Amino acid sequence: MRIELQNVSVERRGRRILDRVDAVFAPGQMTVVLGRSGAGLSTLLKTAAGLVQPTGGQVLYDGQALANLDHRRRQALQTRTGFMFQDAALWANSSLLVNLDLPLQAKFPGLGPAERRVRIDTALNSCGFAADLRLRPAMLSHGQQTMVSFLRAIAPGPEALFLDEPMAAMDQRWRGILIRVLGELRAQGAAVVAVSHDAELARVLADRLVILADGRVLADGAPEAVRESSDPAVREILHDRFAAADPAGE
Amino acid sequence: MIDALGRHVRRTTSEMFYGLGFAWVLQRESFLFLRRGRISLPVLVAQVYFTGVEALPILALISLGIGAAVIIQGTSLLPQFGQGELAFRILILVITRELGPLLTALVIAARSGSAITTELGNMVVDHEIEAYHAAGIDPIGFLAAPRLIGVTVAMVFLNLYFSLIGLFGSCAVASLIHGVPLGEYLHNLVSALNGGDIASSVIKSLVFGNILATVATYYGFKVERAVTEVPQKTIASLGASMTLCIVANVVITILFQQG
Repeated sequence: MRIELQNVSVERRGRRILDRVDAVFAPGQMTVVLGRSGAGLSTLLKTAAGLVQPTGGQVLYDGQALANLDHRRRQALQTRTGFMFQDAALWANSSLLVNLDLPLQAKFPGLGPAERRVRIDTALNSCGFAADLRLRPAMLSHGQQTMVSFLRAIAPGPEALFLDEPMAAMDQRWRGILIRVLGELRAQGAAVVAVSHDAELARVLADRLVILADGRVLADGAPEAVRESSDPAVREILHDRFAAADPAGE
Repeated sequence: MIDALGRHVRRTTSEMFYGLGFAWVLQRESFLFLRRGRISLPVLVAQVYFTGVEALPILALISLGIGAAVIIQGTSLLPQFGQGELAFRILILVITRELGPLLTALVIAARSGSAITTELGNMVVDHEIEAYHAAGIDPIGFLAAPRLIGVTVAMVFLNLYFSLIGLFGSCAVASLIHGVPLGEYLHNLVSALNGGDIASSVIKSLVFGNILATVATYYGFKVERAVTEVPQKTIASLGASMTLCIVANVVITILFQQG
């Protein structure tokens, strides 16, 4: 699925969070959006995912403007995408199984419980995640909850996947698994978009880097090209993000 | 000052239209839920259980207490004016037509309405509602519609239960205190009861249940981002649902009086 942001602005209580952003998230491509806290990273991701209504510009899914779609068609489009929240946002009053099952029920209403369970088990196995699925999310550690949030997003086989700080609560083992699974999804043709303060994802997997500051896109392109940018603001953000992970410099 | 007043009027009007829009969408989704509700059936079952089953003891106590008070007062006071037979009519008016639906609504508002607002408000704060949107699941259809149906169904049955306990429980009290024969009491009670009493009671419970669930879910979804908003919206939800139920009660009573 190709997702396009055209001249998108988002304002809240008189404050401009996104300022005329243009971006394209193409199928089979991994885009990592980097920036400082408060730059509008999560808002950009949620706007692209259709969770935040832009106050200006438009978001297109395969050429269709989200704003022009009726409620049902919009919902149908959203079943084709996955979203991993920074704070997991699991449904606390439901078991892990229900958390993983509901998006499948929404996307495949004709699928029986046994077939859905096969898909859930496939997702669990792909990540080597083992837990008693009758448990409520509160019984898991934050890292495990984040992993379930990731599994919930990928179980229905999304054509576009949005990840908000996916590595933040994960240990090294989960990070490795996440990177491998994201690589597989990208190879299957999914458009993957991640906002991150963590350079690892950008370094290992990104096909494109977008640098955001104060709601504006400062740079957008192949990682090598962006890292060679002469814009001091871009260089500063890249330096902050990559210095610790890559002591050799930008 | 005029500027502030204008802003207040504009905000209130806009909120009112938003609330009416929400109520309309919720009614539509609840109707559609009956056709395609499989996915959120567990939510409906849980709501009926919480609202209906768990409220039985408290309602039984209230209903029995009011029924007993009315019959004790009525049977001791009214005969002094030669109107002893009116005791049953008054009991029916109080229990079935007026206090039954209203008190049941108040108990449901306090228990279930506040719980619904709190739960949905916390879900907004924890981004759980956003997660439903992200999965292509409409939170109004999935979370609010089964709650509306659950609360309304529970309200109707709890109201009937309230009436039964209030009317027939008072019978036991009258037998114990005044030694009124059970058969005679029941005969007088059933004779005084008419179709209008039952219709009024059922219609009120349907309307009140709908109001309670609509208001509770509306305020739950109105929470924006802070946990501190949750108790504020819960209090606002309770106030609004009680006010609307009392107003609706008066309107329905007048309509039945004129009908």
